[in-house]
Amino acid sequence: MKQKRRLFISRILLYLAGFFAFLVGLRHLWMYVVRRLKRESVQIFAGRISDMKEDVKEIKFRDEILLIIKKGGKVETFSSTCPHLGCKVEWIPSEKRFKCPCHGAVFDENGRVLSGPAPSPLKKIPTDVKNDEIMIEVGLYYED
Amino acid sequence: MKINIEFLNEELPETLKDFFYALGGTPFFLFFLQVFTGIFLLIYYIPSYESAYESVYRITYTIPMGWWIRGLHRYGATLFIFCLFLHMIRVFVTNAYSSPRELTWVAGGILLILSLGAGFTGYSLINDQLSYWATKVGTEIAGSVPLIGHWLSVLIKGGERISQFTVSRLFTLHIFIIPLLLAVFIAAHLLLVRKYGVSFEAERKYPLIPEHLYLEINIFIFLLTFITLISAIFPPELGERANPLRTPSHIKPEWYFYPLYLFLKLVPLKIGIMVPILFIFIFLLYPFIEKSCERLAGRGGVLLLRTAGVLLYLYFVLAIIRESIY
Repeated sequence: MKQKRRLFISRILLYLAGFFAFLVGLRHLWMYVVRRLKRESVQIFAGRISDMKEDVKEIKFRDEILLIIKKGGKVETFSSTCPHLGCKVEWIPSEKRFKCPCHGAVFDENGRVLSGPAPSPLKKIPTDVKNDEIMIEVGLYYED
Repeated sequence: MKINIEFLNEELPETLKDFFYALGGTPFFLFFLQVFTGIFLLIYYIPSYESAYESVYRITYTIPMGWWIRGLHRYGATLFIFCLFLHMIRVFVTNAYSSPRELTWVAGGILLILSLGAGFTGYSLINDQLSYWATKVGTEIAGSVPLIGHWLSVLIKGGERISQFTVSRLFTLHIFIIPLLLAVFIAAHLLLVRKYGVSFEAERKYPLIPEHLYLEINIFIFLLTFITLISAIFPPELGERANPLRTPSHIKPEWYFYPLYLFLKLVPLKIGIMVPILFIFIFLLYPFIEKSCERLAGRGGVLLLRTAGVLLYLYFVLAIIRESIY
C-alpha cells in the first residue's frame, strides 16, 4: 500500500514537472514565432559624418544609448548595452576599446569581445550612409 | 503557561558565554533592530520610482536624526549578515550541523539566503546609481537562468524594464514578504535548536534568565553603540540619482555580494549563473550530502568535502578583501 502511494506521488510530481516544462517550452516557441513575424524596422537620421569631431558619437534612442563609431570613411553603430548583464559600455578613446564598468568586459572597435565574461559581441545596428547622412535602422516595436 | 515557565527556567551550557558560540543570538537581536528602524524609515520613505530618491535624500540630510535611523538600518543590515556568516562558519568548523541537527542547518541556511535577499531588495529601493544598476544586474542574472529566466526577470521587474512596478515589487518583498519569511524561519530555527539542542554540551550550566538574558542585552547595547558610532563617523551616503543611460565607472554591489561579483567577472555567463545556483542547493543540503558521502566514500570523502568547504571559505574571504581594495 505504502509502495503504491509513493509511486502515485512520484508519478504526479513527474507529470507536473513535465507539464510545467511543456508550458515553458511552448511559451518560448510562441515568443520566438511572434517576434520573428512582427519584426519591422524603420530608418532614422542620426547625424552627419562631417559633424563627428570624435571617433564615437552617442545618440539617445528610447531607453538606449547607441554608439556610432567612425572608422575612416565608414560608420558602424552598436548598442551600448553589454551582452553580459545589461550595463552600459563606454568608449575609451586612448585605447580604442569599449569597456563595461560592471564586470570588466572589453570589446574592440568592431564590437568583438577582447576579454572578460561577455558571451557575445556588442549588438550591431544596421547603418547606412547616404550623402554624408548617417541613417540607422531600428525596430518599429519597442522590444526590437 | 507551565511550558513558558519551564522554558524560562532552562539552563544553558556555560560555553554559551563565549561570544563565538553565542553568535546566533546577535543576528536575532539585530533582526528586531532592523524591523524597528525599518518602521521609522517607512514613515518618510516613498515607494515610487520618481520620488524614492528624494525621500531617501530627505531622510538622510533633512529630517532630524534621519541619518542615525538610516545608519542603524544600513549598518545593522551589514552587521546582521556579517554575524550570520560568522555563525555559519562556527557551525561548519565545529561540525555542529551533524545528525540530528541537519534541519537546524537547513533553516539557518534559508535564513542566510533570505537575509541576502533582504539586503539586495533594501539597497535597490534607494534609486541612486548603485541601487539602479544593482537592480539591473540582479534582474539580468535572474533573466539568465535557463528556461525560466525571462519569466523570472519579468516577475521581479513587473515588465521588460525597471519601472514603478519594479520598485513596488521590491518594496513589497523588502518590507513584507522577506521579513515575514525571516520571522517564520527564525522561529523554526529556534524551535529546532530547542528540540535537538546545541552541539557543545558542557557540564557546567547557567540559567537562561537572568544571566544569559543580561549577557545578550549587554551584547545588544554594545552593538547599538558600535553601529551608532559607525553611523556618526561614516554617515550613510546617497549617490547620484539613477540614470538608466549611464553606468558609473567602478560600480560594485555591497560587500556580501563580492564573491558572486568576482565570480561573474572571471567565468563565462552560463557558468556564472549555474554554479551559484548549484552551490545554493549544495549549501542548504550540505549535512545530508556529507552523510551520503560518508556512506559511499568513507571518511576520505568527508575530508574532501570539508576541504572544498574550507577552500570556498578562503575564496569568499579573498574575494571580499580583493574587491574592497581595488
